[in-house]
Amino acid sequence: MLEAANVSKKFGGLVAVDGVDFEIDRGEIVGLIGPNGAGKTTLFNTITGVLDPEEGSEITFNGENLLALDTHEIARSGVLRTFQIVRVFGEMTVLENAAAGALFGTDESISQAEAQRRGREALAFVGLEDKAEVEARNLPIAQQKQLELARTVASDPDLVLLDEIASGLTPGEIEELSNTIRRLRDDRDISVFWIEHIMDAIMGTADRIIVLKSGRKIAEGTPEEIRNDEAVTEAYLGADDS
Amino acid sequence: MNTDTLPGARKLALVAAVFVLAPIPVAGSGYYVGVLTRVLLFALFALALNIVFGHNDQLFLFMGGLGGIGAYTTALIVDTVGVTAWLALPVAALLCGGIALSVSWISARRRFTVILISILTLNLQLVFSETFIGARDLTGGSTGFPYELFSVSGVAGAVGIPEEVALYYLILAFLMGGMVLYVWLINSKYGMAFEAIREDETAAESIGIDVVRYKTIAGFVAGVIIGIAGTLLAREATYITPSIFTFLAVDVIALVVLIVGGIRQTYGPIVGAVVVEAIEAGLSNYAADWRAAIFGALLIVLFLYFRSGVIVTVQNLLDEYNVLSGGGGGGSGKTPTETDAD
Repeated sequence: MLEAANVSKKFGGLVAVDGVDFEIDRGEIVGLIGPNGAGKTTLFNTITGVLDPEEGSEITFNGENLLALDTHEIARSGVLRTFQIVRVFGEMTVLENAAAGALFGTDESISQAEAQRRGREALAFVGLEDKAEVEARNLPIAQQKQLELARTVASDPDLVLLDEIASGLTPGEIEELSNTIRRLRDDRDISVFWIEHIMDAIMGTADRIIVLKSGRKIAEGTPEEIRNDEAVTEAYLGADDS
Repeated sequence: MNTDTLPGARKLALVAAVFVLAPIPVAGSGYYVGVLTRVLLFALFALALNIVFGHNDQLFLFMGGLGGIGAYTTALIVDTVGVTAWLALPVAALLCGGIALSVSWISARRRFTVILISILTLNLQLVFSETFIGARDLTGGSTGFPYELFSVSGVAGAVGIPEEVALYYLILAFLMGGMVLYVWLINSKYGMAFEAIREDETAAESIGIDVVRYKTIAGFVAGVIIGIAGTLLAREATYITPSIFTFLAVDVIALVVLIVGGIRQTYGPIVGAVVVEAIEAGLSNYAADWRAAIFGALLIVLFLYFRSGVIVTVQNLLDEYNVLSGGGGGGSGKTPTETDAD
């Protein structure tokens, strides 16, 4: 489904992402972890067209070259994202946020009534249906993050990229969120590529985990394999020591 | 019912009715009809600004210049091609729309901030103003030429109303057309895209909104309306000179009208135009010498105490009053005031 080869991104002299290869298949939940500054969000930004990667990078989605598309076209082709620092439309209601996702995230031409219906359904999916008429900025941050997720779900995507969606949540909320993410795949046939710092959340949910350090991929495997990987342990302990 | 297709259609019809009746008490006075007509014209400019600036954060400061291009182009087409002004106006308006579209397209592609767009358009304003003065063969230079296109005397004679009142109704028809277009646009998919882009461009793009496309559309629509408003402005003056289309004569007034009335309020442009033109007219009648100074001072007061516009402020006052007379808690009366402060 999503195939990336030799993806690199430099900011001046700093190599933020350095020749990373990976694939995400249909029906997979893939975690992306790594110490701060490892290039995780930069990698997301190259996939979604927010940043242009260096020459020689290749990113395709269902065979389509994403590097030739603009951000909004990538969204319409079925790759949606959430943001590390939450970006809901604060002055719109919760329902309007979700309806906007449904209305613009598809190439179908749908009526506003239909967009609202799909928006409501997406809100129910994440458990925000009773907040539909609340202005989004009045939600607590944890719920704003769920709203961002609902906004992507409303457009019926094939792949969602989640950027630290579990940060700031209580253990109970993390459990609930992990369930929602599993249901994304099981009920909605949506694949997930998930950046997370909270290991409990991602280790228990992801099928496969990719580890970045200083822009390079240092490990890839099942959560069990990653837990026992020496390079990963070193990367994290090293980061802790410094 | 048509309220389904156009939200607030009844309110709009009521406002239209008030404006239809407005000239009756003053029909004998060309002066007051002139004031009323200016209300309509600046409401139309402010309406265009509400779309492109209010809803799209593109501060157009070349409304005077663009309006002038509309007015001169209409006259030139009538002169050279020999068609009626009714056919020339749409062509001129499309030309203005095209110019505004190019400005919006370039600004959006290059991700200009609102400050950069205002500097760019202010420069264009100065270029256009100089061109109107300099291109003497086409524009008559600073002395201009009589501008009496859109002959309304026939209709006026047939119905038995003064010509300037007939012109007032013509301009009212354009304003109401603009209002219908605005209400439809803001409640459509376009309005939702505008709102998303205004609040967070990055998030808007991430959910599949083509930011460049929507900003360009907003620029085009505003440009067309500005071209029409400029042509009608010259027609109201019955004489066209470059001084009608300066930055101070059009852009400053339209911006003040929009802010005073209330940005992103459907009736902001109309309410603002009524308030601003009433102040202007009152001052020129009773305090001609001090007009500019007092006008400026009043604007400062308006900006200080009606920052979110007359409409929102009055609504909040009414809400508070209702709460008090209804015996409700004081806390709920405060909420709307607080929300509009940020």
